[in-house]
Order: sequence, then C-alpha cells, then structure tokens
Amino acid sequence: MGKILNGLNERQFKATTYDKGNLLVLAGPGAGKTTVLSRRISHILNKSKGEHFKLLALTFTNKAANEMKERIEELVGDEAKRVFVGTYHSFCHDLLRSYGDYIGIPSNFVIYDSTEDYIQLLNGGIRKQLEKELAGDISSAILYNKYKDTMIIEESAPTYYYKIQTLKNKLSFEERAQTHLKMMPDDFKLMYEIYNDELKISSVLDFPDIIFYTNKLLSEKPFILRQVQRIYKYILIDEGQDTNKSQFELITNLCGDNFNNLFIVADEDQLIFEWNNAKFEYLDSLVKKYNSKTIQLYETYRCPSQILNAANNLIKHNKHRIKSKEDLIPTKESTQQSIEMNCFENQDEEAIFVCNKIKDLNHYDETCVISRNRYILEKIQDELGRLSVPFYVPMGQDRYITREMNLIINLMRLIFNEDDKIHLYYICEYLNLDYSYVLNKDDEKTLLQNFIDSYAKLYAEKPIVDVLNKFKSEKNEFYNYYAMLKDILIESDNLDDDLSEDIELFEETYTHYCRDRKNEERDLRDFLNYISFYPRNTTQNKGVTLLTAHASKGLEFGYVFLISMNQGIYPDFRAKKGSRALEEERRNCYVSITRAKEKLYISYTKFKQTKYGLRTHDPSQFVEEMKIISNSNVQNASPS
Amino acid sequence: MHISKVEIYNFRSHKNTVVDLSESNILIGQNNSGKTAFLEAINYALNLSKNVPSEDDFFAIQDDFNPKVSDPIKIVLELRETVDERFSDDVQYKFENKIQYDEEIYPDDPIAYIKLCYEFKFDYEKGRYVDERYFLDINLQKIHKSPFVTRDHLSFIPCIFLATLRDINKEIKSKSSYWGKLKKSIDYKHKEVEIQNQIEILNDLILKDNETVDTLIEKLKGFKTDVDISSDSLEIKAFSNRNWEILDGLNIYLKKSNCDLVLPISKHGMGSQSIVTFYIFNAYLDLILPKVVENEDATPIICIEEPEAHVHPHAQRSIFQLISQMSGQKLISTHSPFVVDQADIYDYVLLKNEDGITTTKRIPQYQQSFKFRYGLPEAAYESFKFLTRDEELLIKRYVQYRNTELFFSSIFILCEGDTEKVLLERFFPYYKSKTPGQFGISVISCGGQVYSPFLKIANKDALDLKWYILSDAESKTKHDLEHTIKKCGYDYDIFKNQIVYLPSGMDMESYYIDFYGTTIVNDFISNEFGHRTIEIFKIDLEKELSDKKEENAKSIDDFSEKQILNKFIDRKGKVKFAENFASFVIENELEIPDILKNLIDKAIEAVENG
Repeated sequence: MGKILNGLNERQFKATTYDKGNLLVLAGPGAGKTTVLSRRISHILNKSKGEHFKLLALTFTNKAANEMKERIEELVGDEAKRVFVGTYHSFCHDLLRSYGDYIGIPSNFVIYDSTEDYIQLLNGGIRKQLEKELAGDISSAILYNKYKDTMIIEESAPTYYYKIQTLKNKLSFEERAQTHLKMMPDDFKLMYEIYNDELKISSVLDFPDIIFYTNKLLSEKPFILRQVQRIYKYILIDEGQDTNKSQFELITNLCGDNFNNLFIVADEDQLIFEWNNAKFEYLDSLVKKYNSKTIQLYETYRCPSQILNAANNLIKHNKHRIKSKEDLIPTKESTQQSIEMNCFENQDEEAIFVCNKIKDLNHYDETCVISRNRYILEKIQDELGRLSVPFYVPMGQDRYITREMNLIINLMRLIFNEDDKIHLYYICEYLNLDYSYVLNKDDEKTLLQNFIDSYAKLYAEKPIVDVLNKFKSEKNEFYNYYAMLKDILIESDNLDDDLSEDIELFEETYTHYCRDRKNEERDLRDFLNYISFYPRNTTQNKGVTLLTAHASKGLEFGYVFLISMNQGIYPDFRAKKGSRALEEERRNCYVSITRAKEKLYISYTKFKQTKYGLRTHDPSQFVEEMKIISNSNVQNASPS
Repeated sequence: MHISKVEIYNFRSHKNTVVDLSESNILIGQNNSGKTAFLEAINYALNLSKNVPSEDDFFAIQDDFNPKVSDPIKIVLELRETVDERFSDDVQYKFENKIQYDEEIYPDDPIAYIKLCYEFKFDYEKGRYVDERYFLDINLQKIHKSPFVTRDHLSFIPCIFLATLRDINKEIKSKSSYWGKLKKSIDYKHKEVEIQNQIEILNDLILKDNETVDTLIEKLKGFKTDVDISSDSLEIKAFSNRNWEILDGLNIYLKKSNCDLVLPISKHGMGSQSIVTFYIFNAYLDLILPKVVENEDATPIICIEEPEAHVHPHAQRSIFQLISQMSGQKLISTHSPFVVDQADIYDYVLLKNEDGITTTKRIPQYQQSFKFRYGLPEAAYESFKFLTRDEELLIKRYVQYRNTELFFSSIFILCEGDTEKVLLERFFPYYKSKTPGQFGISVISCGGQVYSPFLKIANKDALDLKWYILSDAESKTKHDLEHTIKKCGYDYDIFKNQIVYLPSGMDMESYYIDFYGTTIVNDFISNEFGHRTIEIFKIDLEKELSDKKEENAKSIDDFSEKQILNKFIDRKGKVKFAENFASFVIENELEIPDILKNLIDKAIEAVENG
C-alpha cells in the first residue's frame, strides 16, 4: 500500500484516493498525470484484491497504455490483470471481435496498418465505379463527368479519403444514418459509398469504424452493454481533452446514466486535436452529465518558474477554458535565466545560431527543436548535418521505413488473405512486377498463387518462391517464415541504420506479441492486427529530436528551442483573431513551451523571404502574451 | 450454471448425438446403447487430466477405418442461464467475451449461454494426437480472443464421476480415491507430539521384552554389518510413526447384525460395499469438493454409472434418494426399474443403438410445433404441453410404477388384460425358444383399454418406441382404439397394421376355448381340478339360475358347452387358469392359437428388422 501512495503531493493523493463519485482531474503539463492515473488504478486494485470486477483505462496512444500498464504491474503485480489499459481502438477492437457478429460485423474483420492501404482500397472502388459508369449511361456518370481522367481521380483519392475520415470522426452513431450525408456534394457522397462498400467487401474496418460499430453494438444490443458494465466498474480516461465525438459517445454509452466511478484526467489547455473533432465541449458535457467534482493538479514538476509564468500568462488569453482554474505553481525554482529570447535577421541566421548553441550545450539526447511547421525544421536538419550533430525526426505515417521490411509485411498480408489486391499492388511495386499482369491471370487460382507463379516464371530459381509456397500452408508459423524472408531479402552483413531499426522494431513487436498472447492464441491474422495497433515511432532519444508542435505532446526535454516564433507562422496565418483556431494555436504553443525542463530558447526573425523580396516580420503575438519581452533581455544575436 | 445441452461427435457409438439436459438426467437404454460413452464424453470434456480418448474411441463403421484421418472427436457443452437464474457477476467476469446470447428465445432480455468444445484429433504437424478445449461463438466457430478453456473456467462445473466398478478395497487403499481424499483432509497436526508419544508407548507395549523380537533384532543386525549401513540402530515397529503414514490404515468396520463380529468393510458383501462407496462419495461431495473447487458458484456435474449395481431393491431406492439430494447436476445411467420409477419422466434420456449409431430421445415438455420462447402468456405454455396433466398422471400410474421395463425394450406389445400377457409370455419361449425379454420385447397389460399413456410416450417425438396391440374386435372397441391412436399423434392408416384383433365378438377365453375345442379344455379341467369338476359345476350353475327366479331367467340349456366352460374359467380366475392351461398346452405339445402365433411372428420380425 505504501508504495502506491508514496511521494504524492496533497492534491495527487486526494485525486488518487478520491472515492466520492466522478472526478475530473485537471493536470497541467508535468503535474504527474500518468502518475496519478497509474497510482489510482493500482490503489483501487489493491483495495479490492481478489474481487471480481475490472477497471477500464482508455488512452490515446498505445505508448501511453504500455507505459501505464508497466507501472501498474510494478505496483500491484498479478492484480494488474484486472485492468484493461489500452486505446479506445484496442478496447473496441476486442469487443467487436467478440460480439461484432451480433450486428453483422464478421468476427474475422481486418484492420489495415497504413493510410496508404485504405487509399488504395478506395482507388480500387473508384476503378470499379468508372468501369461501371463507362459501360452505362455517360450522362449520369458522376465521377466520369467530374474528372474525365482516371489519373486525376486517383490522385484525388487521398483528399477524399481524409475528408471521409474527418466526417466519420465527426458523426455520431445516429448522425451517420444518411441524413447527414445529404448536405454533401454528389461526388463526395458517391466516394463515401464506394469507400464503405469496398470496406465491406473486403471485411475491412477503418479506425473510425471500429469505434462507430462499437457504439452501434452497445446501443442496439443492450445485453452486450450490460455485460461490459457488469465487468467494468471503474472507467478512467486519459487526455480527456482530446475526446472526439465518437469517443465521447463511447464513454457515455459505457457509463450509462448513473455512473459513479468515472475518472477523467485532462488539461483543456493542451487540447490540440480539434482538427480531429476533439472539442472542449465534449469534455465539458461529460463533466456536467456525470456531475464530476474537479481537482486541479497545478504543482508542476517539469518546468522552472519562469517558464511556467510564461505559460500561465499565455494561456489566460484563451476564452474556452475552465474558469476557476488556478495558475500552475512551480516546484522547481529557476536557478538561472530559464528563458532566452533571441531575434535574428532571417531563418538562415536563426538556424546557424540554434545549431551552434546546440553543439555548445552538448546534451544532444536532451535537446529538441520545435517549430510550428515541418518545413522550418529542414534548415535545422541541414545545419545540424553540417555540424555533424546527430539528430532524429520521428516519422509520421509509416511504421516501417525500409522497402525490404514493408515488402515482408505486405507478403505476410497477402499470405493471410490470398486475394488481397491492395497488398499485392505494393508487392508488385516493390518487386517491379506488372500488377495488372498478375491481377488478370487465372481465375481458378488465388492472387497469391498467381503472384507466386508469375514471379517464378520471371525469376527462375528464386528461393522466395519456395518459402512462400510453404508459408501458404503453415500460415501460423509466420515468425519462422519472417526469418526466412528476412534472410533472403536483407543482406545481414550490410545493414544500414534504417534496416536495423526496422528489424529491431519488428522483433520487438513480436516479443511483445508473445508476451500478450498465449501460445495457442497466436495466429497470423491476430498478429497482423497487433502490428496495426502497435505504437509507431518509438522515441529513440538518440541525438537531437526535431519536432513539430503537434508531435511534441507528451514528451519532455532538458533544452527546448522553439524557433521561428513569428506572427503568421505560429500562430498560423489562417487562424483569425478571436477564432477557435487561434485558441488552438495558443494551446499548441502552451504545450510547446512546457516541454522544457531546464531551459527554453525562443527565437524569431525580423524579416522573411517572400516572392516579392524581403519583408519585415512581426514576432508572434504569443511572445508578447507570455510577457517575457519586457523582463528578459532580447538579444539581437548574430551567429558568431 | 449447469449443462443445458450436450453434443457428441465421433465418439464411440455417438456419431452425432445432440441432447438437452435438465438438472437431473436418468440415462436408460439397453446394454451397448452408449450410456457409459455419454458419461465419459462429458468427463473428457470437463476434466483437465492427462487422460485422453484412445484411437478405438473414434466412431467407426467400416473395418478399414483410420482414426488419423477421421473427423475429430468433438464434445460440445452448452451452459445456459434460465430466466429465473441468470449468470452471476462472477460468471460474467470469469467468462468475459465468452458469453453468447440467444435473442430469439427472449427478445426482451436475451438469455446468455456459453458453449465450450472439447476436440481430440490427430495433428499431423505434431505427429501425435492432441486435445483442446475452447469456446465457441454465436456461429459455432472458435472465438477469436483468448478462446481456450482454463482450470478457472472449469471450476464452475467440476465433473465428478462414479463408475460402476466400485471396488471397496481400491477405494480404501488408493490415495486418489474419494476415501483417499477424505483421509488426506483429516487434520491432526496440533496433536502430533502426543500421537508420536502414544505410538512409541504402543510399540513398546507390544514388542518390548519379547524374546522372539529380541532374537529377531540380533539376527537382523548381522545383515546390517554385511551391507555396511552406517546407522546407529535397527528397530522393529508395529506402528509407523511417520506422519504421512499414520492414517494409511484408516478403514471402515461394520458389525454384522446377527453376531458380535466386527469386520472391515472389505469383508462384507458386495451390496454393503457398494452402498458404502456411495456414502463415501456423498461425504466427499459435501466435505472436500467445496475446498478443492474454491468457487462458490460451482455446480458439480455428478455422473454416476449404474448406482444399483449389487444392491437390493430397497437399497437401490434409498441410494437414489441419496443421489437426488446431492446438490449439483446429475447424470445417472441405470438399468434399475427401482431407480426409474422414482425419477421424473421428463428426466429420462433414452439411448438406443441403431445400426451402431446411438440415438437419444426424451419426452418433450412441449409439442413439436411449439417454438419455446419466454414471456408468452401462461395459457400458451399450457395448451402446447406435450402431455396433459391427466396424461402425466396416467403415465406415472401405468408406465412408471408398473411397467418400467418398457424403457429397456425394443418393442412392446400392449394387451387388454393379464390373461393375454400370461399367454403371450408363456407361449413365446415355447414357440421361439427364448423369452420375450431375450428378444427385447415387453408384454404390457393395460388393465382395460388404457393405451394412451403408452402410445403417447412411444410417439416419435417422445421416446420413439415400437409397439403392437392385441385387442378385442367389437366395433365399439375398434372404434375407440382408432380414436386413441389418432389422438396420440399417429397416422392411423399406417399404424393400423400394428394392431392384431381377436375374432369379432370373442374375448381371449372364448377364443382359446374355440381354438382348442371343448374336448381339450375339458381334458385339462379334469386333469387340473378333478374328474367330475365340470359336471358338478353344471349342477351348481343350474341351481343358481333357478334360484334367481327372475322373469326371462335363463336355464342351463340356454348355454352352449363353450359358454359353460367360459363361465367356469371366470369362476376359477382367468389369469390363474390361463397360466395353468398354457403349461398344459406346452406339456402336451399342442399348437399355439393362430392369432397369438401371428403376433409373436410380427413382433420378432420387427425386432430383427430394427
């Protein structure tokens, strides 16, 4: 017991042990949010040892879930099996896997790993639609008349895809019935239909669908909901401010009307997913619906006082936040100047100065550079490269970087679903095979067999053919076959960093998979889905980290360089005065500056390069709002 | 929680057996019908022991059968909650994501159930037979997330099996028997020191200062030096003082009622031994099982094979009472009418072996056309009952209490009275050299024309038994019979061939008098009752008739010789007369009456054609 409640401050203790109903914990940056969550879970588990109910803790990332799970296991050992810690998606995925059949979702549904896969799926549907349109009456051909060109329409597939995703995230379960779609343009409606049809044909769910269908299941089949409610007596929500509509709906579904054990940790000042339909209002209405009491954790362990003051000053300019909120209080006094403000002629000079400074500081793993946009970081990359300072840019979408590893994973997917056109397409791209040739060979055979045969014909004596032929009949021995494919496709004595990283990631994923699944439970389908849920870009802490503002959430560094703090860049020029978008920019900035544990360097430029020559460039309004200009000495630093 | 349905595939004679179970189930049927296999199948499914089926256990019909490529042995158990007794929170927690729902049977609040499957098959990759227990989803597929049945799951339905062979010696001596387990639970730790002292004293008392013992020890010491064992002493003990051996000799001693002899249970008769094993089993259920299972929600699945073995009828009844009081779900296989007559008719599960394949039958609660759902008005259930309350009572009176043998036969012959029954039973072995029982045929006397309870449970929707009827042929009787057959759910045009009629206007007595003729019957009467018996009977009869002084009174001359004989038989008791007359027929190697012969032929032909 002592271990669980040890070292908590008064408010953390109160939040951890609160037992009088629903609670909202407002936790500022570095106030011990994860600590309180994992301690509270451990505390409840420990108090109810041996009892037969579970706790449900929902997080936004698998990384957060893994971290929390590990902490809980450390604190309560075996009792940790009574808590489900995972993302919304993984919880819903499990539930649909078990009960999707009750609403017509086949239990063997598939989830694709990458956005590209889903876009390809849409493209397949578009091709089919065009064929259909061309065979019929041209005048009613919506797609053909809009584009007249297959290439263009395929190029616009990603745009449609993202629009569809945004819409799906925005719509609640009821709203997704056709009524809401009616207001959309015809071509979008059609794309929406095509995409959903394709998902259905291939038994694929996309990420919004997973939550959507879970909501459908829970509303249409109350007995399933009751079962979940009988098992899960406590629900804990991490990053409550980032809840979007369908997640909000899921929480209210799970809680029902009279729930008494809802625990939300949130910081509305760190809400940065508004573009993904996360809204302060959802959090607000959760708090109201469940009549939650509020505890604010304002003692901040991460940032020195000067930085906290700046953050407090900045965020007060936002109107959409909880009124009664206290300022963050530092537990760490600034021993020296914690913020250094610099002004440069232009971004080149800024980059030179920042990179040299980084080199001087010589704490590469503890240093990060944050900018509003990725392109600004490019100059920094070049300059760091010139100075031979190691750095690291977390990748956005792709889980695996290398062609080889992606090929192996795609082969595994094709082995699993032998008629998987989408992954066959990638495989053909990787191997320089003619996709349409493989696609149109023999109707009697599966696409996989077509592929193997075509490949064998083109490249005689390829060991890969034998391996695939055997793999086909022993799908669940996938790890052995992974190893064989790896040996064939990757020359082990010639590994570059990317390759070793990919291999490491795959093998780490497999190790975790084996930890999470009993021997008899492992199979290829399950493993492929596991990959899809596995955290992306495991932070490496090797070299200087270069981050966009969004990507910096949840991380912390000794030294933070926040660069190009100019009006129009940060806040983005599209965020108009007094708009919600501007408030989101401000929250973003709030997150950015509170990443720093020791020292924050803020810089901006006097001029910017435009098509029409040099123009003066104002510093960001945020800089002024932080109220640091007046009391710190702004240097007109020039690179030495 | 109890097993609501069992499905057995490819296990011995169970090719595809599907049967609903109640709280209590009485498995009846002839030898080799698959009762033991049924119990063992459940035992395999529920016991996580190393014991697995053997190659011979695969269902096989041809000789060239190869179990390695055969369909797997599969045993599927369904555990279903009822509207009154829903799954507890504990069950919900322990079976998270394993529970399925039946929405049809109760749309308002679907009924939850769990299906678990035991599978045994040859695994080519592993090169050996493997078994697996997993849960099934609504589509009867292995569920996706953690499908496997664990010890924790099975603790809700611990399966306890008591086989026919109840060897008390084994029971008493084995460590793994119920007695052994009871023994192990006796706690004497706190008295250990005292026990040690007392044993010491006892050993001294018996063996100390005994010349023979002392010499023996001296002799044995020689052995010690020979093999060079470096120990300090050599002792001889009557009682071991090793802790774990102290209770080894725990036994049951019974005093015989007629003398003062007290003997260990193994020296008593088989009957007593068998009964004692039951009581040990019962004590085990009460005392040990709750500790072993550690699950308050547990429903023991109690499988007992032939509780009647070696036990006299009264004891059979009391053993069945004992079993009925055990808490848990019971599956009992039996051949004992004394067990069958005490059970509820709806608890019977009748197993039959048809061409090597087991079929099972139960008496249904509702008519087949009725699709059971919860939440209907009470009257709906009442009006769709398979048996009306009256029929239930009749079956209890006529079938359950008096003619339980019916459940153990392939075919039964219904006849109006005991005369027919006696004649058929006597003529059977005379004509076919075997008793009806040996053919699997029962002859049942219905006491008048109460056919309906028999016909009802013989219906194909119930126990699906084959029958013949031997009936009088008066037009009213015929008409009533037709009505009864139709009412019991049969197509009369098909089933009328299973009725054999006596000649019109005749009862059994007049028929056999007619068949054998007055001379033979008179001969028999003279033989049996004395030379002038009929003559005297006639004089008495004449006197009786004239004493009546009624108008239109008949005189003896109004009766034919045959009618007078019939009256005589009536006086003497029809059944007793028939019994003796049958003996007479057999002794004198006379013919059997055609109609009875015909009926016997038909019945045997039916048995032989399955």
